[in-house]
Amino acid sequence: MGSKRILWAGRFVHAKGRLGVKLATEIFPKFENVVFELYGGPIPQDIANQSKNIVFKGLVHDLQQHMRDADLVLGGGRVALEAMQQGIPVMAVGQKCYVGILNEKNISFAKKTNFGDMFHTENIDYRALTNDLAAFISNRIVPSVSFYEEVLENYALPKVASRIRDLYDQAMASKKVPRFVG
Amino acid sequence: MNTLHLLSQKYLTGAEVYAVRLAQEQVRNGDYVILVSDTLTVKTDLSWVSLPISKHSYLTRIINGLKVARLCKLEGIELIHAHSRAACWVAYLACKLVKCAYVTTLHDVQRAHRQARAFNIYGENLIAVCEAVKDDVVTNLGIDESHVTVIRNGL
Repeated sequence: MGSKRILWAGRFVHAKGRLGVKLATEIFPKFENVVFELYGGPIPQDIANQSKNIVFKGLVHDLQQHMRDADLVLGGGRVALEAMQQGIPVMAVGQKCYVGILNEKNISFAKKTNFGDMFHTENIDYRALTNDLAAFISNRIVPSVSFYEEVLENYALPKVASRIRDLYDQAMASKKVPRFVG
Repeated sequence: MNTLHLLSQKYLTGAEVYAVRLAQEQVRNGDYVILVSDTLTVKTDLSWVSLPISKHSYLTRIINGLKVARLCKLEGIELIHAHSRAACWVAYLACKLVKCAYVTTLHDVQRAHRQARAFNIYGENLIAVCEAVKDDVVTNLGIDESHVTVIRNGL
């Protein structure tokens, strides 16, 4: 149980900072046999040494390297995507909502909310998050990552850049057309 | 194409990583790209100009708009790609001065205060990084649905 390596990444400011502090002070200390690594800056000094099983790593420029041998990554937006790219199980939780440990049932909601970072209200279900974390740590949930590759096809940079280029062309074309004509 | 990416950044965000990765891909494809933002945390060889884009005072916005317009003229910029509401104010002003094309990526839900609803500074070519962001601007800011395209984060 204690051998699992779990990490969260996000900045410690604004809404994401509130999430990080809540995880570090109220959720992670419940699992004292697991070491949690928290990446992102600035390190909140007032809580930095409160729990022995929580390690604040600060801002790093090679997050994907640090993710590499993690058992679970918690995060929203690009953090979730970068973990998926490495084939690591992801618990999607962003600044607006909790999605869950990614599976084929919740992936569509995850994509719609940018893995929990976007939602019409800030409403994170910490009880569900805690229960899922307990289930993962005790191996009652063993996440599958086999569907990640198909999901990530829509996030491939060349494909995304090509779609953005189409929009650029559209913007350039509309700039040349007088408003009263277009 | 000559493109200027405009961001308001005081610390590392997903928007910065998005803009840098996209700009790197555009350079690989033969485009000329400049980044303009308050700070830049991601390590990159891209051309970067520091301006206080996140400052909200009207005077600073006007000065930033003039500086960006001048930069566009000097560098032959054809399109400004803005990545935040504060950046959109500056892009909007600069585009009025130098007649650049204008694209916005919305990385977050927007505050729907009266000014935001009354005056569209985002332009008519918007990218939303997910459906929740598109729903937000269409519902809360009254932006025409046909002007918003969901294009996901590039990895």
